Amino acid sequence: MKIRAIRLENIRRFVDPVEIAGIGPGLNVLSAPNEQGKSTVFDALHALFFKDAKSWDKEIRALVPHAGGDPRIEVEVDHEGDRYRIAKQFFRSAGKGEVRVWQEDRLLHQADAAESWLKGLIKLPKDGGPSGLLWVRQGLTSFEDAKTTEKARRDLLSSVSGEVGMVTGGQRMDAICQRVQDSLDQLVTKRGARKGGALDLAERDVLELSERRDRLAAQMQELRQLLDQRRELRGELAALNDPEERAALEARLQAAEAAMEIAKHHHEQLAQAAHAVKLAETLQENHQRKLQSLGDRLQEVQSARAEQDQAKATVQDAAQAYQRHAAELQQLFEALNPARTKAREARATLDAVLKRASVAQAEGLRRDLQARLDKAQLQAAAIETAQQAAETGPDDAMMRRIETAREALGLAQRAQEAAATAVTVHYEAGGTDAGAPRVLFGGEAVAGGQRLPLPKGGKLLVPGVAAIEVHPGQIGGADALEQAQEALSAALQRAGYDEVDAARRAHQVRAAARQHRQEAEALLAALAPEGLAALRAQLAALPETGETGPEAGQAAPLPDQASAEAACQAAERACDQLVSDHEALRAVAEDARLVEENARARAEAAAQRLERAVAALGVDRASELHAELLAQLPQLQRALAEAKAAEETLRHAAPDFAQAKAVLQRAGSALEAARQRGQEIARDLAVLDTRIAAHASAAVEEELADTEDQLARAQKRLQAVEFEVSVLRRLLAALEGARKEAQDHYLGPIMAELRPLLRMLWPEAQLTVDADEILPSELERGGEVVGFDSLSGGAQEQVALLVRLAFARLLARAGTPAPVILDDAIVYTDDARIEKIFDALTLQADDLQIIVFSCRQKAFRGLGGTPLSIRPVADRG
Amino acid sequence: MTSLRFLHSSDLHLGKRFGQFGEETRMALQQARQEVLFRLAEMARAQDAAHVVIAGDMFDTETPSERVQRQALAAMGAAQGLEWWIIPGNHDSAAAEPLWTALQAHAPENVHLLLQPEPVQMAPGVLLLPAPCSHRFAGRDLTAWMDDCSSDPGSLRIGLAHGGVLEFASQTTNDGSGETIAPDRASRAGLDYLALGDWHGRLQVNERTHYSGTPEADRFKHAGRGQCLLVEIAGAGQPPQVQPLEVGQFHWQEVTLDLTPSTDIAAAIQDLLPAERADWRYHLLRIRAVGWATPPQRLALGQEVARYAPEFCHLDLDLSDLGDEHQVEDLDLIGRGGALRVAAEDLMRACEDPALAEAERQVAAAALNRLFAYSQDEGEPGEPR
Repeated sequence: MKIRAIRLENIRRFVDPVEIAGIGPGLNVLSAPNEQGKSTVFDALHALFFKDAKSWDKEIRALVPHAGGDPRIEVEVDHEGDRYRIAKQFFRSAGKGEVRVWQEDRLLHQADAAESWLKGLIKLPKDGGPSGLLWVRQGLTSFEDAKTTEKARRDLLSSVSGEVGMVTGGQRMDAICQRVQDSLDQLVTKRGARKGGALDLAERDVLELSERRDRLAAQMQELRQLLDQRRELRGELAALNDPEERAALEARLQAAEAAMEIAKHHHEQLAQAAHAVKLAETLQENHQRKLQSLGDRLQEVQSARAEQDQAKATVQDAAQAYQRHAAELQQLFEALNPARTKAREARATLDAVLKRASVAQAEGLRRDLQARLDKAQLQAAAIETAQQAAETGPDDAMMRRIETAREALGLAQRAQEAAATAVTVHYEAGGTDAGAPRVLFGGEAVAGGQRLPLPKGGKLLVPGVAAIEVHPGQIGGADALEQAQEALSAALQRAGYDEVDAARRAHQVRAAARQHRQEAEALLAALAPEGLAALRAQLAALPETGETGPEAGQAAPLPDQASAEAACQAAERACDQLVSDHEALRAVAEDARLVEENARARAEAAAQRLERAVAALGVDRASELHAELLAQLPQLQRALAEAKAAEETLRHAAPDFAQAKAVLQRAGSALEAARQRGQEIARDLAVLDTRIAAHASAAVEEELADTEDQLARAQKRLQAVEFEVSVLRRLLAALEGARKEAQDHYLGPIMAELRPLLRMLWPEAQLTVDADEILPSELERGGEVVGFDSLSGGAQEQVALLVRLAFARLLARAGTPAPVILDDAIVYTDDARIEKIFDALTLQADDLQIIVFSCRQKAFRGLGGTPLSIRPVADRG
Repeated sequence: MTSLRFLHSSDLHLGKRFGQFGEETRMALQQARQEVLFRLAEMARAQDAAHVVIAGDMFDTETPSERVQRQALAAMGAAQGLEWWIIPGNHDSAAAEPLWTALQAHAPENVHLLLQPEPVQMAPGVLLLPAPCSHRFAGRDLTAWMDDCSSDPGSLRIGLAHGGVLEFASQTTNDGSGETIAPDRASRAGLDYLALGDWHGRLQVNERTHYSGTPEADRFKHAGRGQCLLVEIAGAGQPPQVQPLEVGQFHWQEVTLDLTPSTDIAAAIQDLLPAERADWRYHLLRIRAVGWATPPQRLALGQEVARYAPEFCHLDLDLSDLGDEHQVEDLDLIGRGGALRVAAEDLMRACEDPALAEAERQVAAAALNRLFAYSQDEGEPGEPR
């Protein structure tokens, strides 16, 4: 399609009809200042091609002149070799638009048919972007107003989106993709089945039905088991209630009871036999006991008699022995007294000898003691004297105080002397010679060169010359000296002395006396260690010489000590021997007496035992009786043996009582067990009946069959949904892959068309296009890669223009050429660059119709092409 | 000479729930089953038959609901002058004590529940020899005892049993129950007629041995409506006259639709539909499409079936054996060029790629069909929208 003429009426400023005529097939330029209506022309064209004649929206209303009127647009186009005229008029009244199409002045279409024809001509896409026309509107190259750069880029290329769509599937593709995605989204999410979606529901159905099926199958299984159990129990109960079986059990019980009766009877007989045995045993035992007792008593009598006889003999022997020992004792007693007398005499002699020796020893001792006592008494007196002397005069402490006071006084005196006024006389040479006048003090010459202290002052006399008075003034230390003097006087006064030397002498005397006393005390201690009184007592204790005289009163001379000791020992030993022998014999005699007494007691006891035994025998003819009892014993023994034999016979013949009892018990319990089991089974059956009835009435098996069918159906449904998911995923993958591939395919030719155009502006330039967005993303110029959004406004509008031209080229090559309409599309481009743009436009206009609207008159003057102008329509014909 | 005229039926499977169908279909089928006893009674009256023998599987399970049991007894009891002779089958074996105890407790006088293999006098001079299934799987020929069962000379001997016939077992038993009835039992036991159940379709084993089939069909396997057999025996030793009578309400059928890419789907479907349109509501029809179909054909198949389905009790389309045929013209309908065409070609290649697993090829084929359907919804390619 190529536009050949445009006419406007009642369009904004163009109230009266205007036209742009003579639009050429190639490059056309309408260059005019602003506000001349270029954009109005552009908007009117847009309304003609893309607005329904019946519409009266904001865009259309914006076309109405201030004075009012119904906007009318008319164009002439060449299309596929024919000239068409299209007129469209919008009216304020709704639904009243007019559109008509003429072919060579022949009305071809009008109203809806005309709109439809028009749409076919330009292939209006859904989003309103022109497809059969390539537009670049004023301001759309400006990015400042765009809310986002991506939006801006889209606007830039909006006119080519239709072509892009055709290749990449377009709206149809988008709708299908969306539908597939929506369908898929209803079924699954990224993490699995969508909750509440068909897949989820199918899965839940399968799960729920599987669980239900399992539960019902289990119930069914249980029902079958219950039925089996009931069948078994009923069988068992029938067997238990079988009359033959019951009769057999009862017969067994009766037989056992009969056997038990027999066993009981025999058991009683056996008990009687046992009793007879017991009786015979008792009789025999009693008899034997009697026999034994009698025998024992007879033996006791005999034994007592023998014992009595023996006791009597023993008494006799003991009496004789005692009498013999008593006689011997008397003899010894008689010999004892002379021996004792002899021993006493010998002891008296020995004592006298010993006393004599003792007196001699005491005399020597008395003399020693007396001498020591005398010396000791002398020392005691000396001690007393010394003690008195030692307590006279100052003691050590007092003396130390006197000495200390004296030293303090000396120190005070020396100190005062050192500080006191003094005079030293220095005689002149020869002054010391005899006869030389001398200085006198107190009348005596004062030595030369010596210091003469004058603490209290004084008067020096130089004979013949002068008398010199010395006044000492106030001298420090006088108080200290006075105090020291007073202290010494006080110390001496306490000691009772006037002078220190006197005190010292008295102190020495006191010290000597103390020494003497200590020496005397040591000597006294050596002489009388326990004191004088002890020594005197010791002396007084000694026997008097006259009392112990050995010879006093002694008629005969005494033997020596050794002889006397020997005689004494011999006499005392003889006496002791006799006493010892007497004691021994007396013990023997006592023993003999005790033996006799014991024998007598035993004899008496034996007599009593015999008496008791005879009394215990109790019968007269004991021996005969014993013989009789002995004779009766065998008969009793025989009777016992017979009873035992009878019992043994019965015992051997007895039936097994325990066994009979056990058999009876077993027969009874079998019958009882059968009865109890019958009751148990009846109870169990009642329970089973209830449970079976509950299960059976619930139609479990029908439910199960039904559930299995439903499950199969649900599983089929799940498979179908799963298959559906696979199908949708596969389809989506195919669509997306195809779109990507198509985009890649599509971009190639565009880029091929674009490349030479770009290089007209920038040699070696490369434009990168985003494959997903089909929008330019980067421009590489001279090795520098710049993001499209970072390009200058001029570069962006240049790229946009060139891309559009490339599209136009592509469409032209495909046999569907589209006019390129540029409304102030080159705004930011500088003069140097604009020349290159013009070159590109001129190059493309060889086989493309390009209509350029621009206010840059000067700049566009160099573009060339067919100049266009807006002129009033003189005559519309 | 004693003669007898009776109806032979079996496999009523009362209480069957048909869980594989939707709710409405289930209800309809259940109701029809429950009512089949009325139709049998009606048929018996119409055919002047005084007896109906039911050769097992009166109930679908061993635990039918009380409602099913009681309504069945009531239906039979309501048929005055008609005697019902019933044995347990494998589905409702005598082992289901609660069932049979309850039935015995409530059975009307004209209903005879035969739970023991012992002869019963059906009518003067007519001995019925029942072989009730004692358990679900008896594991032996329950009719064997009939050989040794004597009867008065001249009396009719009718056998009644449920299970597969030995030599046909592998082919004819419908659930592999393994029953083993000797096919020559009738001659061996001197039976004038052996009425068998278990096989849901009507089947003649030999002159005197017949399966009646179910009176109300319950699966696509046996096409048509349910039947019963009218049996007439003129006298002992006489060959029975056996006549199938249709008593079923619902017509079950599975038809095969053999497709080629040139098949006119609408016409082909039309040809398959039953003639009486008003009767479609009693039809369960499964169309099993086989052969090869193009995406437009598949689309048309679905559309056609969906169009008629509401008029049927059940109409479904089984596509599991239908292959996909994709043609260039179909792809043109998706798109003559551009991305949609590329996507369609990609899927078509995948459909035909022998290197891919069958499942993947199927998914790709279905995806192509879907693309076709969606693209048609979005209008013709290349047209403005």
